Amino acid sequence: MEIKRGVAVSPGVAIGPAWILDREEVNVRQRFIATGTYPQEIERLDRAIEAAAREAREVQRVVADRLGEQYGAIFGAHAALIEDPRLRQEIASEIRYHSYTAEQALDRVIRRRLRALASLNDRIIADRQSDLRDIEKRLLRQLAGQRHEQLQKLTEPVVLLAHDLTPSETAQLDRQHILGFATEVGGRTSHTAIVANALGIPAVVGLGMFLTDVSGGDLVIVDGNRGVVILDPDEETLQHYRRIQQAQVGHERELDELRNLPAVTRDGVRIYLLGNIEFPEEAAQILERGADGVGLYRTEFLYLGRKEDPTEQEHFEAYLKVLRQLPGKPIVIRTLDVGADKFSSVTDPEIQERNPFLGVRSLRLCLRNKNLFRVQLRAILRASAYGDIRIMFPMVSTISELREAKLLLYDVMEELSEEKVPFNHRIPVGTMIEVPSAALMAEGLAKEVDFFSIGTNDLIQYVLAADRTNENVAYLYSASDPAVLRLIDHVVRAAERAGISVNVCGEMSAEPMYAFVLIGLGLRQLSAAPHAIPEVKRLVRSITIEEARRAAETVLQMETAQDITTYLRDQIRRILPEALAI
Amino acid sequence: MPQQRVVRSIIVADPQGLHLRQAAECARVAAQFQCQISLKYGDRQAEDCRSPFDILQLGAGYGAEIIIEAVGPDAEQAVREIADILTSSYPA
Repeated sequence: MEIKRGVAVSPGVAIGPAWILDREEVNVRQRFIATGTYPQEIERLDRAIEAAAREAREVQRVVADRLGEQYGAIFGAHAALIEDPRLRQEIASEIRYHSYTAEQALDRVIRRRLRALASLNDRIIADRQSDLRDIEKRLLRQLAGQRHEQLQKLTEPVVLLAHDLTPSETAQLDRQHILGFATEVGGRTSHTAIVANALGIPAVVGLGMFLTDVSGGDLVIVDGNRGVVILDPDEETLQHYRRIQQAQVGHERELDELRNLPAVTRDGVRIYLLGNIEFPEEAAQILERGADGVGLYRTEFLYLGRKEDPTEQEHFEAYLKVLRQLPGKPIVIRTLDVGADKFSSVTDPEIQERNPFLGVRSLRLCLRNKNLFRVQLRAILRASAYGDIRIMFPMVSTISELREAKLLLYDVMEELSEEKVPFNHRIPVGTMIEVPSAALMAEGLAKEVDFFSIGTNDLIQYVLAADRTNENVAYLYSASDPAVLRLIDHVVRAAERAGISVNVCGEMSAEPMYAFVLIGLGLRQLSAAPHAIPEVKRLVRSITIEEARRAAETVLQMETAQDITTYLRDQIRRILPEALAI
Repeated sequence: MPQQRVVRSIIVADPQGLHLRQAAECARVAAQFQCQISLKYGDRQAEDCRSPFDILQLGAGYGAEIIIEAVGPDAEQAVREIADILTSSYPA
């Protein structure tokens, strides 16, 4: 038995005999053409370009039908690359001035382009290399007079192993016969990974050299959940994975059935599960995943990548777009939460920050630029006339800051009343609790608002003074840290005493083990990415409030994040045996 | 139509950075205009926006500032359309 570790790009477990796709080396029979024959060779190149582009567009149509337009578009882009006038010009000049064959010239130019892309030293760009190899193969096949892709017809289910799979090859994988695949190269954001995910084929990429250790027909396990490939597994491992596979089938069916069931604990307490969204287009997912509404509608997208700031009408339409798709459901709109660099109209020469995360951003920025802020507040208020819109201020640090924001809101309300513009005069106003000072002052803040929403991602970062994207300190960043849990407990108690509602909208809500402890701490609303909602709902339906409360009490007595993580993992293993296995 | 020179700067809005589909779309749109369109990011330049390869090779990530320049009779419209593509973002 041998275990290889790579990058998990498409979840699920596949067990089956290995089928090794031969490495298709660039097979260039001849390197040079006879002098003076270059016009014919360039003509041969042009015919290949035309045919290859046509073929890529054909793949685009097939993939679009099978998986959807956005996946088809990958191959439309391949066609555009094949037809790139500068690429053609470079290849043609290699043919003309060096007497290379079209194949050789193509190989040289693609290699040059690959090197240039690799030198950009950007992982996402590096992932585009599989696209370049894809178009190169397509062109080479045309030059060789082959019309079709090389993937043979399969008659029995196999696990495909290859040095690399191009996006085209992946898109044409036959789900009936390809149980899963594993490759030596590739990365998380490659189109190969994206297509595998859309097809629902378990896949692990970037394993490094391993094909030499395996022969066709050997039993292989691809664990697309953990990014592991097991060659020649022993009996115990095999049994373990067979069980996971079976649990998985039942699990998926169950999650699907959960959609229309309420999130109620075994002892009958209703937990409201809300979704976090970023774009209006995501509203549909709220319904698909059976959520109760939108707990966090981020509005930053309206400002990104623009020369002018969005108008009141643009804000208003973006809000109505979500509202219309979710009639009767609550929608919490968070006012702008970005740094100064994202604004077009804000060119504040005084803002030269050494530490932007502790600088002028979010609500602080809005309060410095009130005219800009008023535009968004007007739009949110106008939208509130048409449904259950709620407004939430991010990054509040002090009570005075919250009061200033509210004052501005009241001022805008008055303005709208004078203009006879309809809006909900009793629109619920909330504040995010994500700065430690706000968490500690929760009692006072609770008197000023209708609801709290605890933004745990930032709260953890600020409480532990650790940036989780900094790998040297990321070990400190943990939702299990006792300081974090005690602070959340403090905020929930303050909200309970004031009789206002409280929600958690960080990633903690999306993870069953933390959702469990949050419910135990008294939370009755959780807001998570839509795709996480069925799993959280399943947790809710498997627990009693009593056991969650006991778990919360236990962890509040603990002193280290490690102890708490271990304890919560054990609890979840007991409650949802399948959840951790997957 | 008179010759125009239009310059505009935009910020890449897609979290994936300027990606292949956008590069291809820019090239497709650029081919429909008479004007010469170039893109600049820092010291890298894609001289001809009809080449998706060159656009890709700008290596422009999320939040990168790109300067679009077009010279020709229909430059204004061209810059507007290219800017629309580069500032769009696909929800992942």
